[in-house]
Amino acid sequence: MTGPAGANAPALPQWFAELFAHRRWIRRAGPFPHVYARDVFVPEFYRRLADELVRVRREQSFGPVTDNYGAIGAPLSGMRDGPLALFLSREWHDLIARVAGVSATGDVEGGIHNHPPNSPPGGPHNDLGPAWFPGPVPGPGEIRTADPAVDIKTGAREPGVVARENVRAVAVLFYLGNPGWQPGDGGETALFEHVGAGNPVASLLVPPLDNSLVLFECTPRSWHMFAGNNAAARNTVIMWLHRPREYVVQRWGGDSIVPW
Amino acid sequence: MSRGDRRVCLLTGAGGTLGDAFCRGLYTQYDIVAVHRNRIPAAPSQHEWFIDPFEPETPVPENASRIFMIRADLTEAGAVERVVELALARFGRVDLLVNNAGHSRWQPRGIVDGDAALDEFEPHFAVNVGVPLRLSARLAQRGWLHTADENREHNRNIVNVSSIAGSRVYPGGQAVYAASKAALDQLTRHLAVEFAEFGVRANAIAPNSFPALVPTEQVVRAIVELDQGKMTGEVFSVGVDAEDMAGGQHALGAHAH
Repeated sequence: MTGPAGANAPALPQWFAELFAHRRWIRRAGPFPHVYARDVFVPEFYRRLADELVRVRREQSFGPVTDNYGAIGAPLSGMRDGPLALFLSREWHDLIARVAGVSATGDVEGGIHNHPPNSPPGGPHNDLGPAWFPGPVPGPGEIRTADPAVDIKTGAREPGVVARENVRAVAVLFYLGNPGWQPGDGGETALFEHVGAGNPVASLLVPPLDNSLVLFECTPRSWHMFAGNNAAARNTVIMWLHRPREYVVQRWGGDSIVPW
Repeated sequence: MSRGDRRVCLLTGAGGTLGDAFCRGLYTQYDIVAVHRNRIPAAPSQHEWFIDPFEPETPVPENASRIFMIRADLTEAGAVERVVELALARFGRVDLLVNNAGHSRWQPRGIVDGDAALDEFEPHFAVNVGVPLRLSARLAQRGWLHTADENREHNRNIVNVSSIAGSRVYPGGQAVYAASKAALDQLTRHLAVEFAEFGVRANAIAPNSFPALVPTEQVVRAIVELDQGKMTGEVFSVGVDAEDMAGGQHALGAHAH
């Protein structure tokens, strides 16, 4: 698991390529390596995504994402019948893996997060957390998502259920449904060079501009958090690609994996 | 070293409004050494660059002219000298020096309102006059002084970013700022006279407020036009109506005064 996934990947299908507005994303070296992109999708497809967000918010009940976190959300795995299914496609998985320069398993987890107005800031975290997925490793074209039969955080499951322990490899935040955001409106994603001091100061604030994204490899130093103090609700598609636990243990040691 | 087919520009104040516009608009035309403090311009550099998400390992043409950014507080001892050393180490020469870094703090209650104006004298003159003086002198001493033919062949020059406030009295407490820009204008004229000996030109632009009253891109164009021209020893206003310029002359879409 050392080379980028899909180094010899076949050409992207035309339907997929035509969703993108342009082919210039920005790779940044600091405060830790990440990729940023504005106007990711063509306007027509972005509008479909934003409309789908409205529909999902109207028709699904969002619940707390996790303890001690201000967002409510719903998993991507329940959104396979609309445009948001793009984020569960193998084509998207492989593109993100190549951009991030990681080899990923085909296991995807994520959801829509909604931070209500004036949400409190989170705390810096690196996303280097475990994630258990059912069944064997997905094949080259396959995607596997979390399954209620396997606790994604702990791997707890009934006897006889096959599951694999992965660790988050790439985090992707795609911002949508935040029209009219202006500097000063808050709700950015804060990136940190370090969190050694008691009160770490963000090195970079990524604004939640519609149709933009930030993605980064999850490492022990990919410190980031929701900056809070958002004037309006902030909506995000957040998702993770994964890799086997053994790779992370070999590279950074088992102690680097953070339970969540 | 420079590829040789692009002019080498040393730009200060690269993270500001004008610096960012200059870098974004011209990074494929110039080899730019961009001096900044906290903010960085949004252009390919050692800090960030473009990728093609479909082929992330394939070079993209925009990255062939990455800006070389240097983080520095040019008022600190030795900072100007370090910047000059790094610029020459990176590209081997400087064809255009743009003194764009500026300090601007107004005292709306005026000069006699306590110590506000007095406290702001040193930082204004240090940044707005001292840094351009030191950068010009050090570049000359490190190369220009002994390469007169090459300077003329490469049309080397200095553009100081002044302000229309340097020749007008505006309300709002701009006395110290305006005085520093007036000093920069006069420094420019002296630089032009002294540097003529070795073939380096010096001019200044004096823009109206940008981007509020004049588009930042127009200010950028004025800098480029000065770099491409032959004029020296002038202060050109940018974005000021011609009829407002007593005794002014038209040049480059800007006005000399």
